[in-house]
Amino acid sequence: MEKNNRVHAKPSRIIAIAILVVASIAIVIGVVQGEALIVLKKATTICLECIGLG
Amino acid sequence: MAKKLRVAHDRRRNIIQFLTAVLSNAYIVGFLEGKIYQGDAKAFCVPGLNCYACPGALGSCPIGSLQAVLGSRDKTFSFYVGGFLIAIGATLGRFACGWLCPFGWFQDLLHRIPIPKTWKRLRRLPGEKFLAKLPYVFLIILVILLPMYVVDLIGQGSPWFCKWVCPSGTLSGLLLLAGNSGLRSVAGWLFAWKNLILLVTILTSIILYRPFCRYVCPLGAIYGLFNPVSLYRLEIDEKACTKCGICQRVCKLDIPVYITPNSTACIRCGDCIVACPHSAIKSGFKTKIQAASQTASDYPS
Repeated sequence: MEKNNRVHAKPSRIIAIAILVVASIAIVIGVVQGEALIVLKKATTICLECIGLG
Repeated sequence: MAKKLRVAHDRRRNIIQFLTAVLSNAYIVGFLEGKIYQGDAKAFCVPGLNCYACPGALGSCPIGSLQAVLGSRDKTFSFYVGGFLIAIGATLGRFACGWLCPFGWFQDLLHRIPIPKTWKRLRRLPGEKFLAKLPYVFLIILVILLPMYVVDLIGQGSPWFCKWVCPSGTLSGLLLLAGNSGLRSVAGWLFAWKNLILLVTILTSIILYRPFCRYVCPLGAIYGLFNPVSLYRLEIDEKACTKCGICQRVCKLDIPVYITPNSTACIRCGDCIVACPHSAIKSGFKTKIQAASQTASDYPS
């Protein structure tokens, strides 16, 4: 029972933290490549497709 | 006592959902004048589905942003938006859907509308297993492939999911058009189509819990992939759990929590945690079960 409990309790924290590190690096790469500006440009003009006009 | 706990839990979740929706859409001038916020904050994505065409939106919708980057010239992958989605997924999983998504909250409110006694609320639709895979189809085809590969003469793709499906955008459009007569005059058949989808979503949400999240939302599909590994997670205390199934009965998504506490469909609303008569379900970044297990391994008897 104790072993069973331990198996369920065993966290995948290392996997999650590794994924977080990769995600953080990806965000930095994206910003450097100018993707944040693309998002900003798209989001600051009315998205006609989104509201069903274009 | 149990009822009191449930009420308190519902209230707490409602308040957080309300605050998230208000903070994400705090540009009051937009609602009054029928225009959108154009400041730098829109370079940042919000964790939930919140259209950037909403007059009040202060941030960007991650699904709209993903399509915008993938559909732009010379981009084959979005590190920025992809990284953001992965970071939220790895940290919270679908907790973001249950607690931080304005469109999820909108569906929650609709589900509270009383229905005639002769009607019956549904827990799932026929073909649930197949339907539950649809968000991945929407994600791959409408959010990724079509914006990337169906492009115009200058190489720009269109946000297919936003354009043809997303009812959150339509809701934003209605708010925007309410204060903007110029936009109202150009509404045509696409607007009618999107309003039909919104209407179906609204009516279905009354009898079925969160139909859009379950069968359509590509954002939930992405976050759901991270549920089994995210830092925030649910855990079952095997010693305390009697497998009575109460967690599944109270789960509005009909998930057997005692078997799959971190199911990809779970939005982590926490109803099962409050309902468990044995307090066998824990949630958090480091649950009591984890802590106890760690202490036991640190100090072996």
